Amino acid sequence: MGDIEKLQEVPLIIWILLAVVLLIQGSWIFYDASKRGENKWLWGLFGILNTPSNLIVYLIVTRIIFKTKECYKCGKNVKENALYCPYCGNKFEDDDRI
Amino acid sequence: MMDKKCTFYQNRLIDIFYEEDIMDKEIQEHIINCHECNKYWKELKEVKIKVDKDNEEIPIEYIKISQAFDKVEDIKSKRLNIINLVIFIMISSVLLGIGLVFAMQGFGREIIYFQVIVHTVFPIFLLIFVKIRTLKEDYNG
Repeated sequence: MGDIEKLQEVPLIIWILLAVVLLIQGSWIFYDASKRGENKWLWGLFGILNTPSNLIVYLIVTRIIFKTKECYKCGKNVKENALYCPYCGNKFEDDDRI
Repeated sequence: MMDKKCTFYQNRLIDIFYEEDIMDKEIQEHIINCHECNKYWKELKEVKIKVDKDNEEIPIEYIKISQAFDKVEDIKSKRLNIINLVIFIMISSVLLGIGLVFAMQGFGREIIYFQVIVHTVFPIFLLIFVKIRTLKEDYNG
């Protein structure tokens, strides 16, 4: 029996667990992307495609490539090298910027 | 008892109160001599003092008003995020359910092919996406 045919032999519970894990992963990515001002729908749907590689990709993109910092005045996430907070207008000191 | 003259003078006193008329000798003499009009004028002056006092400038704390509006916006956006999350969970459940049915019906081969395509093609799209966004937002600027 080929490997692909063996997929039908996998117990239903494994499929269900995989679906639950993907749902939790996708939901968390959706929620996190909405907090960061990212396109939450795109990232959320990306998060339900597979695990854990898509989660790793999301974390690399949002935590390293497009890193953000928190405005100490309003608490919103802004770009790492922002001069001003676009939400409250707070000016960041030089020490707060890269 | 008030006579017609008093009515006339009291109407003038109201005009004087609103600075639409001036206090002349005639009306001043009448106020001195007429008890009722004198009382009327005193009451008007008391009202003026009270109104002026109530009209004192109350300092407006604009920062607090702005903070209150920001808080309202935060609450509204949090509620919207929760609604969006619930909708997303429902849509994802449907999609994953469809995938589950496909897997159980023996379409495992197609699922594997799909995963291979995702893993092969997506990194290319990701690089292009990151490059475009970096240029657009001048992220390293």
